[in-house]
Amino acid sequence: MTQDNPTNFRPLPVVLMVLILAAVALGGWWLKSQPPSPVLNTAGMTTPSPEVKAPDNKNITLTLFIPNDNAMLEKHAVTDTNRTSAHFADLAQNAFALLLQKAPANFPKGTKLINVKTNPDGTAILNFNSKFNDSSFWHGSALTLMGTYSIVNTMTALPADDFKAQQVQFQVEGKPIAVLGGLDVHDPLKPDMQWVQKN
Amino acid sequence: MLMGLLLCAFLASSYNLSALADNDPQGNSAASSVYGQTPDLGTIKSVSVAGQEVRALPMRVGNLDILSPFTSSLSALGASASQVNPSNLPKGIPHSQQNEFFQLNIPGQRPVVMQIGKAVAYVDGKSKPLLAAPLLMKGQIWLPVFSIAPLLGASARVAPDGTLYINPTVQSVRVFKVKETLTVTISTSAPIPDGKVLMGTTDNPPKIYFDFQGFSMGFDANGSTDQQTVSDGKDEIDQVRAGLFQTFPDTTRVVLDLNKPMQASVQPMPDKTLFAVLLVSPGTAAATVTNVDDAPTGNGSIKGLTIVVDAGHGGHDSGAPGQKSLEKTHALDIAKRLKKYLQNMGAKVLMTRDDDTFISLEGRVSYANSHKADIFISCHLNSYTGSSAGTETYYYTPQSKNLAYEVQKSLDAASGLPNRGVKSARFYVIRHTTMPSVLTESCFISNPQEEALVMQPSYRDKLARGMAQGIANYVKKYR
Repeated sequence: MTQDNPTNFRPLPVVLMVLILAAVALGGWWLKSQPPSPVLNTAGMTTPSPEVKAPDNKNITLTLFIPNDNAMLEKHAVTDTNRTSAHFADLAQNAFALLLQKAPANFPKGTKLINVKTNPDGTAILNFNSKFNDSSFWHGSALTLMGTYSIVNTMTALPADDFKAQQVQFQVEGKPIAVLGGLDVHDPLKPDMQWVQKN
Repeated sequence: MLMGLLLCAFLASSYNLSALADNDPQGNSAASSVYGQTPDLGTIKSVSVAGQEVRALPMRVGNLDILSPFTSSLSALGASASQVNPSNLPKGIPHSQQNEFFQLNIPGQRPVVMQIGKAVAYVDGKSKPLLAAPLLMKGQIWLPVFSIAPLLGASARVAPDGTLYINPTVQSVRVFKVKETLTVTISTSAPIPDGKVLMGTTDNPPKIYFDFQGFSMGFDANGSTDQQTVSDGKDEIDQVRAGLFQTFPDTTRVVLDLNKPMQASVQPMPDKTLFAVLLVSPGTAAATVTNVDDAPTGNGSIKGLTIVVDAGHGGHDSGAPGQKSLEKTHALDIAKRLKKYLQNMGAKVLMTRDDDTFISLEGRVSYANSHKADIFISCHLNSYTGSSAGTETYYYTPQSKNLAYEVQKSLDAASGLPNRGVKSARFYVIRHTTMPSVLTESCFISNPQEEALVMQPSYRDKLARGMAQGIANYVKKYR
C-alpha cells in the first residue's frame, strides 16, 4: 500500500463536479416523487396506536380472571375509569397490573410485562421480564395453571377497540418460552373456561 | 464472514479435503454403515425442505453428506434450532467454548446438541457420530442433511432432477377401540398443515385411504418407498398398509383394508402430529371422541403391557416444596411403589428415573415413546398458594381420557381426599407422549395436613396402590 501524498492531490475536473451535482439534484426530485415505502411485514409488529386526540375520558370494564383460594379462577368485573384510549396494548398492561395487585402470590416476585404486541392472526404476544419464568416458582399443576390461565383468559376478554385477542403467546425478554412449570407453552394458548369457578 | 473463513480453515485441517472433493467410495461406505444407503451426492443440485426450496446451493462434503442452511425451515419438519441450554452440554465443555454449540429441539425427544465444526451430536451427554460437521458461514448454520434427517424423523431423497427433498414422514399407525368405535391414529414427524390429508373410499374391495401430501414414508422404512403392512387389523379392519403414492413431491398413502364398507369420521386433534379417524358402519351416526367415553368394552389384561412410570422432578429440580419435605422425594417413592404393584400384576414397568436424577421433560417423553410404552403415568404432588386440597388427574389426548378417569376414580378412593376431578391440560409429558398418558397430582404438598399424610410410607403405598388399580381397571375395560 502506498501512502497518499498531499502534494499529489488534484481537484476533480469541473465537468465531473457538475455531473455529480446534477445527479444529486435529479435523485432528490425522483425520491420526493415516489410514494412512501410500504410496510413489508406486519407480523410481530406492535399494533400502531392511532393519534391520541384530546382526552376523552371514558369508563371501560375489564373482565379479570383472578385465582381464588381453591385454585380456580373467579371472574371479576373491574371498571377502569378515566381512560383516554381502549387500545389493546394499554388495556393489557392495565389488566396485568390489576392481576398482580389482586393475586400477587400467583406470579413470581418482580414479574413485569415489558410490552405487548399483536399479530393479525389474533395472537397477543406478551413479553415479560426474566422473573416471569423463574423455574423455582412454577411448581404444582394448580399454581401453574392458575397463573397461566388467569393471564390468558383475561387477555382474550379485553374489550379493546383495535384488536381482539384469540390466543396468547408468552415471551421472556423478547424470546418465546417453551415450558412454564411443565406446561407446554411453546405455541399460543387459547382461553380455557374449565378453570373458571362455576357458581 | 471472518468466523466462516476461520471455520473453513479449521475444517480444512480437520477433514481430509482431498478425499472430500472426490466421490470417495470409502466415505460412501462409512455413510452407509451408520445411516443406510447414501445416494451419489454429486448429482444433487438443490435442496427442498417440505416443499420450499432452500435458496443457497447445497455444499457437498465428499460423498459423506450434503450441507444446507435450512435451520429457518426446521419448523416445517416439526423441529427448531436454538442456542444450547448449558444443562444439555456434554461434561467438561469450558464456558469459553459454549457459543460453538447449538441444539435441535424435536418435540417428544431429548434435545440434540451439535457443535460447529465437529461431526458429532450429543444427546443426554452421549455422543453420536455424524457423517459431516455443521458449519457456520455468513451467519448461517449449514446442517449436514443426511445426518440430521433421521434425527428429525424426516426423509432425505434425491429426485431425478437433482433436487434433494427433505420431507416430514408418516411415522406409525395404531388401531384400537374406544367404546364400540374402531379408532385409527396416524402419527407424523411434523405437524400436518390444514388440508394436506385427503380421504378416499372404495367399496369393492372395501377400503379407506388417506393421502398425506408432502409427507414421505417413515415407518422405519429407511428410505424405502416400497408398500408395506404397517399395522395389524382389528375387527372390521383386516390390515393397514402404507406406500408412497406419488413421488417428488411425495404423498404417502395409508390404506385401511376392510372386511366390510365402513364410514370414516376424522377427528380434530389438538396435537397436529396426530391424525385420528373413527370408523362406524354406514348409516350409523358418526361418533365423536367426546361421546365415546365411559362404557367399558374391553377385557384386556395388564400382563405383558409396557408401562412407563415417571416420577416427577428430580436432581436440582426439587419440585414443589412442602413445609418439611420436597415433591421430588415423594414422587419417586410413590412411583417405585406403583412400579411394584404393576409388576405384581404382570406388567413390564420402566421408570424414567429410579433415583434422585434430573431428567428433562423431553427426555421423559422420548424414553416412553422410544420404548413404545402402552401406558405412561407421571406422578406429581400439587402445590398452590391457598388452602387447596385433594387429588386430580390430567390428560391431554382424547385417547388418554378413559385412563385419566379410571386412575382418578381409584386414586380418589385410595386417598380419602377431596376429589378435584379429571382435567385436560397441555402438560409437556402428556402432550408429546404417543400412548395413553396421564399426570396425577395425588395431594397438595403445600397443604400441611396433606403433607403430613404423604410423609407416611403407608399413605404413599395407598396412593400407589390406587393408581395401579386405576390402570388395571382401564386396561380391563378399554383394551
